Parts: sequence; C-alpha cells; structure tokens
Amino acid sequence: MPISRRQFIRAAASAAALAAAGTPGRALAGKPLDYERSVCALCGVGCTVLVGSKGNDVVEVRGDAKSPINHGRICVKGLALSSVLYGRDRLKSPLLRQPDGGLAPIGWNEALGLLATTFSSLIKKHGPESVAWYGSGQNTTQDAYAASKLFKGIIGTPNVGSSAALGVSSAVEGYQNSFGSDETAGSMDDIDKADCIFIVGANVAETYPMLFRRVVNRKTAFPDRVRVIVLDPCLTATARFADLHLRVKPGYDMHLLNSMAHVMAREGLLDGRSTGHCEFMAGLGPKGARLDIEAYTKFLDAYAPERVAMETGLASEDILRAARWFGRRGMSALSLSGAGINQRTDGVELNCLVHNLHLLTGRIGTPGSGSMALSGQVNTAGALREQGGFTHCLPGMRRLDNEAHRQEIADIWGVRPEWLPMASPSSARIFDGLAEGRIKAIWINSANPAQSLPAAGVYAEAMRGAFTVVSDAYPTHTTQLATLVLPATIWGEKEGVMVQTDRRAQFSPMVIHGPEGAASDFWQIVEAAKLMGKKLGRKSTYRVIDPATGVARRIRHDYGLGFETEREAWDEYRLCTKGTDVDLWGATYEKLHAHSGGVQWPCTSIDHDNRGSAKRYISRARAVALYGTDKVELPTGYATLYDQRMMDASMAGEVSYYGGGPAKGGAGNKAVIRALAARTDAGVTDAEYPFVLITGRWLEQFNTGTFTMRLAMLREMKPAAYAEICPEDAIALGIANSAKVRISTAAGSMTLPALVTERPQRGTVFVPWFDSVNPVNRIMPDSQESVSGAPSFKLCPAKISKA
Amino acid sequence: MPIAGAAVTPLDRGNSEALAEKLSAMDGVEVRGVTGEGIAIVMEAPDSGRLKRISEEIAAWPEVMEFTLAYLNFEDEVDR
Repeated sequence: MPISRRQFIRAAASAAALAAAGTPGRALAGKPLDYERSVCALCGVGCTVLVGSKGNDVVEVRGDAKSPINHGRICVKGLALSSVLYGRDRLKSPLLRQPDGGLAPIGWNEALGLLATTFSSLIKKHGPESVAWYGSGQNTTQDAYAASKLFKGIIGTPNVGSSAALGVSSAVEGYQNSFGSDETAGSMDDIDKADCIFIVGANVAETYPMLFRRVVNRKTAFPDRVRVIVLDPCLTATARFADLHLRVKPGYDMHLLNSMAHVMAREGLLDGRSTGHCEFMAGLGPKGARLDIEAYTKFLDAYAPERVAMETGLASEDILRAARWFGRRGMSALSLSGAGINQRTDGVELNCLVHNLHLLTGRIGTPGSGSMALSGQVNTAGALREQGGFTHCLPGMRRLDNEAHRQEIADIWGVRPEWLPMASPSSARIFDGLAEGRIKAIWINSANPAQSLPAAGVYAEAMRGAFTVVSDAYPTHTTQLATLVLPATIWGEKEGVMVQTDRRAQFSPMVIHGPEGAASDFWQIVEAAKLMGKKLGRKSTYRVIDPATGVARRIRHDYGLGFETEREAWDEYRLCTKGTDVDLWGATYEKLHAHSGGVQWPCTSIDHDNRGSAKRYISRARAVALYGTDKVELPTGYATLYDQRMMDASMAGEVSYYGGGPAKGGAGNKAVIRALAARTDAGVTDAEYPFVLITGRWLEQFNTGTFTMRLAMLREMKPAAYAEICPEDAIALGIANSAKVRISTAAGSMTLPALVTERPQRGTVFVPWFDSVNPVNRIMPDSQESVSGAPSFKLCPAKISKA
Repeated sequence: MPIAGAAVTPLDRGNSEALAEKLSAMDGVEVRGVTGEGIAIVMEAPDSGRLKRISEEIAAWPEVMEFTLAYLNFEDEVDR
C-alpha cells in the first residue's frame, strides 16, 4: 500500500527513536545531574564514589577516578548502592509498641519525650548504669560522638557499645598490646609497593573487593617478585589467587604463626634495627615477664615446622616457604588481616603474633610494609575505635580510668568530671546486663543485634523485655522487638565523617532529603539530649570553636550536647583529638570536602594541602632515608611519609612507638614482641561436635542484609544462605547438593540447603550470616573466653546431619 | 514540517506510563512505544526552532532523566 513521503519520514523517526529507547543515550538538552563526592557504605574499604542526583533523587553512583583508594572502580555492591534508599518498607514514622503487640505510629515529640522520660526515670531510680547505647560502624563519627557525650558525659553510664566491636575488638587489643596504640601504622598505598602480601583470615576478594583489585594489580605487574600468601582454612576466592595457600587446620593458626617466627629466627631473617625498638614480653598485658631475644627464640623452638606441621595440617615446606617469602632480604611485606583471626577466643593473641612477624623482620614503617587489620564497616574506626565507643574509653582514644583523660574531656564537654562513669568488667557486656536485668533500657542505633549477636535468640528475649528503642531505616529482627522504633535517614540522606581502615577520614554528604518522617541519627541524639539533660538537671557548654585555632568562646551553659549541627560536632571532636594519637585537628570540613580520599590521621596542621600522615611511628629523617622524600604528592594536596604527631611533639629517635596504652606496660616508646604459647585446646571439636562451623560474608551481601537484601540485583545473586560442605564430607554423610542439612551447635540448630563445594576443608562447614530468615548467629554460642570479648564466629564446634 | 524521533528516559522507570501520557498530551508529540529503558516519541513542528523548544521543555521536566535525539529530518517539503 503506498504511503506518503511524510509517513515514510515519520516511520524512520519512529524506528530511530525506538532503537534509542532500547538503550541509554546521551542527553541532548536539559540540566545534567548534580554530582557530589561521597563514600560507599557497604564495606570497610570506603571507596570514594560520585553520587549523581536530580532534584531529590539519587540516580547514579560511580567510582571517583581521583580517589587514591579505589581509583574510580567500585564493586557490585557499590553499583547498587543508591537503591538502598528506595526500599518499599522504609520506616517513615516513629512507632510505639501497643498492648496487643503491634506497632502504632506516633509523632516525634511524643517519641522523644517518651524516650527521655523513660530513660531519665530509670536513671533516677536505678542509676546511670541501668541504661545503654548500642551503635554501629554505619553511624557517622558525629553520630557516635554525640551518643558518647550524651551517655558518658551527661548520663554518666559506661554502657556504650557498638556492633562494630564484634569484628575488631581483637584487632584493637592486638594493636594496644603490641604498639600501645590502636590502628595500623601504614596505608593502603603500601599494597602498591608490597613484595609479600600476607592475607590472614580475610577473604579480601569478596569482602574488600577494591582492595583485592590493588593486590591483583600488584601481583600482575610483578609476577615473579611479588608473593601472595593466604592463611585461611577455606579455599576462598582470595586463596585461589594466592601463590601459597596455608590451608591451616581450624584453631592451629597460633602454631603456624609462631612457627614462621621460629623459621625467621633460625634462618637469620631477624632485623636487629627493628628488634632494637622492641621489648620482648611473655603473655598479654602489662604484667608479663620481660624476656631477652635469646629467651624468646628459645621459646619458639617448640614451634619448629617439623614439629607443628602435622597439628596445623600443613606441609613443613609450606611453613618454611611462607616465612622465607615474608622475610626475604631487601623486600617488603604487608599483612592484611580480618575477621578470621578477630572473631576468635584467641583473637588478641593472633593479632599480636602477626605484628610479631613484622617487628622481628623490620617489615614495618618501610615502603610496602606494615600490619593492617581491616575494618569490617565503613566507619568502624570513627564510630568506635577513635572516639570512645568502647565501654572503658573516651574520645581521642582516652580512657575512663585515667584521671588526666577524664579532666581533659570534661573540660571540652563542659561537664563535671565526676559525672563521667568508671568502667567495670561487667559493663563491657551490655547485652548480658540486659539479660540479667541490670540494664533496663537500651537505645540501639543502626545495628541489628537480634540477628548479629552470638546466641542472638537469648539476647532477643532480653531486648523484648526491656525498654528498647531502635533507630533504623528498615524493619529488622531488632525493630520487631522494640518498644519504640525511630525512623532514621541513611547514607546519602545525612552528612558525616567516616574513617576507614588506614586511618582515613572522608566526608559523606547529605545528597538528598530522606523520606518525610525520618530523621537523622544525629538530630535524634541531639534532641533527646536536650530533653534528658533537663530531666536530669545536667547542662553542658555551648561554645563557638574557631576551626583554625581551636580557641573556644563560650556562648552559654544549657541542656543539650553543646552543638546543634554535624559540623559543630565535628569541630568539637577535632578539638578532642588534638595532640592525641588520633590527631584529626587538621581535618577541617573544608579539607575533607576538597580532597578525594580524605585525610589520614595524625593530621596536625590545618594547612589545606596537608592531608595527614601516610605512615606512623617514623621520623621525618627516617622517611627521607627510606623514600628519598618526606611526603607523597597526591592528585590534590600531599600526605607526609612521616608521623606528624612525632614531629609536632618533637619526639626523639627515628622510630618511636609512642602509644601509651596500659597494655604495653612500661615499654615506653618501644613496641612489644610477645611470646604467646599456642593454646593446647586448639582442637575444639569432639565426638559430639566433630565439625567446625565458620561464618562469614559473601561478596553480594553485607552484614545482616538490612540494605543489601533490599537491592533486587544483589538479592537475585544471593537470595538466601546455604551450608557449604566439601565433597568428601557430603559423600560420607550422604548429602546431595541442595539437600537439606541440619547444623547443630551447643546453642541450637538450624536447617539449610547444602552447597557441596571445595571451599571448606574436610570437617568444616561455612554459612554466611546475612540471611534474616536463617540467621546463623543464633546458633553460635556466646563464648566469654576472649580477652577482647570478641565472639567466636570462626571456630564453633558443630555437627551436621541430613535433615 | 521538520520531524524528529527521540528517546525519553524517565527518572522512575515505574512511572513510564504516566510520563507517556503527559507526552501524548503535548501538541506535535506522538508516543510510539514504551520500552524497559524509555519512551520513543516522534515530534513534528512547523520549524526546527519549535522542535528545539519542544525538546528542551521535555528535557527539563523533573520526571525526565535523559532526552536523546535519535533522528531529525528538516526538509521543507514532506508531503506529496
């Protein structure tokens, strides 16, 4: 049928338009997206991202090419990050538990009034220790600082905890025992110079993907020089990449690490210059016997590879190889360690033994060398480790049992020092206090302990029975138990500073407004503090702090926290850190905004281009001797290759482990190499529980899945947990792939489909912990044997049977 | 009259139908299809300047993320 020329041209236009509508195209006209720099919230790497928005919608997240962390790359979770904001079941109103067990919406005034009244009444009747706060590594530093000030400074309770402690408390105590100060001495940039990369108990490929990308790049660039060693009982994706996989028998890592140290001593790989900056002590803590190096090396004789190979399940040749690669003359060595050694009853010891290897061989403070414990969440450092997130601590890594620290913080906070609490052994275990009835009210913020705690079912009942306030963005197992639920804004909807694994503070902006009815955690805490302060008759000082000089001008003394905005809180927190190990005085808001990849503490100068210290514990002279320069130029600004705190305090010596934490005893400015005997009960299994249950993460899911299980793409990739067992065990037990298996521990049982895979070794079973339908942590017994209080999520005796 | 074909990408892909209706109501705009990625339209106007203004108006809508011109014919005579 003939058509007109006009019809023909319209048909051509239509065809072209349909083709274009099938694929994304470039905009011809109209306003482009607004982009702001931010930090990905879905693991501990803290990749710098650019967030594209139009109006009040986030439409794109991509990596920032200028970032020294991820160099423009992001992983599958980062790609899906913006969808976190748009789950259909976002909480949009405060909710109060009703007599019939349901939740009914109430207004904010009523909600905060109820919170303040209930907490204050309990405090007056039962004392400050009857209430508690429990946050997470998803809190911004300002959220956590505000909470710390409210609960410790105004209320006077030591009961301030965080879910982030579940993953790092062993690492914290390990650093304190070895160096007297928490957190790593090096930077992620050391990956790019490392000749031996020793990955210990961390499936970096899946849990820190962009960090792993840098490891791959380093190995690929120098395949003959660089050696990657992975210490992990499981054949993980990381282990598959390794030049040497130390597939240690679960529980025998201490034997292995001591054995590596023995080889280093036996084969002359010790560095006298490094050990000269160290003390040798037996055991943990300040009271261990002082040793000399001869006594220490004699102690190691029991761990010769030939003696421990069978116990560890390794070949002695592999232990020898690992030690020799680590200690190769003229080469560097970097350790990346994670939950695999932290979430253990011997976690503190394991961390110290890793540090030992570096101190013995001098693989610390030099290019490409260092011992880096990886943070599990984006702000584990800022929300917990650095600003008093532990029950015995105060901001700036200060301690409640130190009179000078108490006075310093009381002065900054404008509160009376006698208001500050004293820590007690029982205060460290907040949920035990809840279960025992000592703690009667708890405010849980951005955490899901009803799913994440060991023996979570027991503590769930305790939460149900107390006055439990939960601030979160989505319903969780924990909100289901709450008396009062407060809807919170999340990443992208609130501003704050986040601090990552290598002491790096980055700014996370508010890009859009959150859903109507939701409020930021910071606002919730600030407003609650005003109400509670009035009821308790306790005021703090509101002041204006000059962000350049730190001079504070008092405005008034009033109920509340002394600040109204996140920026004001940050400037006060900077003042808290000034002159301490975690000196963030130089991390002004302007500087954090300006530089992709933020600022590394100690950063003692507000000079705009000074982005802090890439290395700790070494002097400027030492840096020049090692690097030929004292600073590294970045795309914008620079970082010093020496420790700015050492420089500012005029500390003597080329190396100074100046951390003054009490765990180090009287070691002064020396580090401590600790002689730690491997536990004889390392073989945790027995006839009743012959398997070892290990929990962990998968690439596509983060923590308890509160965010990632709401992202369609990630949920489709990994919709549910299953139990990974090896083929030999599957055959022996008659378990086919996908068949239901029953996993039992001393704390309970659960049924999961099996995945038969080579990942776990014989006698072990791996289950990820993100699945809220099958929360595996409920069957993990709560062990109190760890020095740090860390749960034993990586080594649980279990039995498996067909369901 | 000049004729153009364009793809309009909505901000909210779940809102494509509502956006398609709004486009259909515009003088000189015909919706030719709604796909998973966007909406295909054909525009016709007395002159190319008017076509440009229609394009800019659509691109500026808050519910529109992208506007992609796929085809343009601006010959004077289109109907014989």
